Amino acid sequence: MMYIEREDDAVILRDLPVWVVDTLLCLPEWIESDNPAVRDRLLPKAYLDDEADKEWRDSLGSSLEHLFATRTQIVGKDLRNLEISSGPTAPGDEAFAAQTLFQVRIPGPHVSAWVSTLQAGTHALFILEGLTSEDVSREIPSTDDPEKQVSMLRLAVLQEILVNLLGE
Amino acid sequence: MQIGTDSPSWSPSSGTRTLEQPETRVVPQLARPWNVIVHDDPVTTMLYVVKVFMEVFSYSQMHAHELMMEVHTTGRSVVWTGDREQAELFVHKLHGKHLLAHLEQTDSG
Repeated sequence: MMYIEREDDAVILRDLPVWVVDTLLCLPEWIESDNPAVRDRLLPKAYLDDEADKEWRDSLGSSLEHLFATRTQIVGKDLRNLEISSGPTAPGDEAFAAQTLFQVRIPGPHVSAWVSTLQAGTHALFILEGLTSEDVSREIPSTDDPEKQVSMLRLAVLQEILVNLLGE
Repeated sequence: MQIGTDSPSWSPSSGTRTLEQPETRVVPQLARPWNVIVHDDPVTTMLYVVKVFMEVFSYSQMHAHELMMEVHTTGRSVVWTGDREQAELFVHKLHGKHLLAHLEQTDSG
């Protein structure tokens, strides 16, 4: 069972199964997607008036993109230091992929970048996988579509990590 | 024709009349304030919204929670009202935290 351990200067996500690691590694791709709906969600309108909004985007849009990219890079850097926390350690082991659990250390100053990146990732995933409000409003998945169920599971784990990082 | 000396005034030398301008007072018109409006979305957790309101606006946890509940139950909430420059700064911060927010001018000052 995945859990979070707090140290003085860091947070450690322990016992992450492969599919959770895979989900985390997908974050940059999802957030940087050129899907127009994703871009619109991550850079929403500030003004209802189109002209005022264009001025806004021209002046501040790039700074937000830069901010998101910087945060994503921080998360990516931490994920490159992924370690095995338990289970078989040799890739030659047949059960390697299924049983090995991983851990990632998040330095204290990186936590806010993680929180924002996880938040951005949930929005991007929601759009890219075609999820609906109804899909995510139920405790138990309301779909028989296995791909959609996987997407909802990924979304749920991102939210769970995010909430845990917020310290509650 | 007899013309009185009371207003409008009569200037015998020029033979012209001068209309005295009624006194006007200039009342400064305050700019209408701007609202920062946050919208509900299906993905963001309630806890996250509360934390962001506390961080961006320095609201108490109770006030942040009240506003979050308004967003959650009605779909939107006016979370701050004031001058445009500050409202833009707040919206920029909220977008940086991936909340759906926009600003619009209030109907009255």
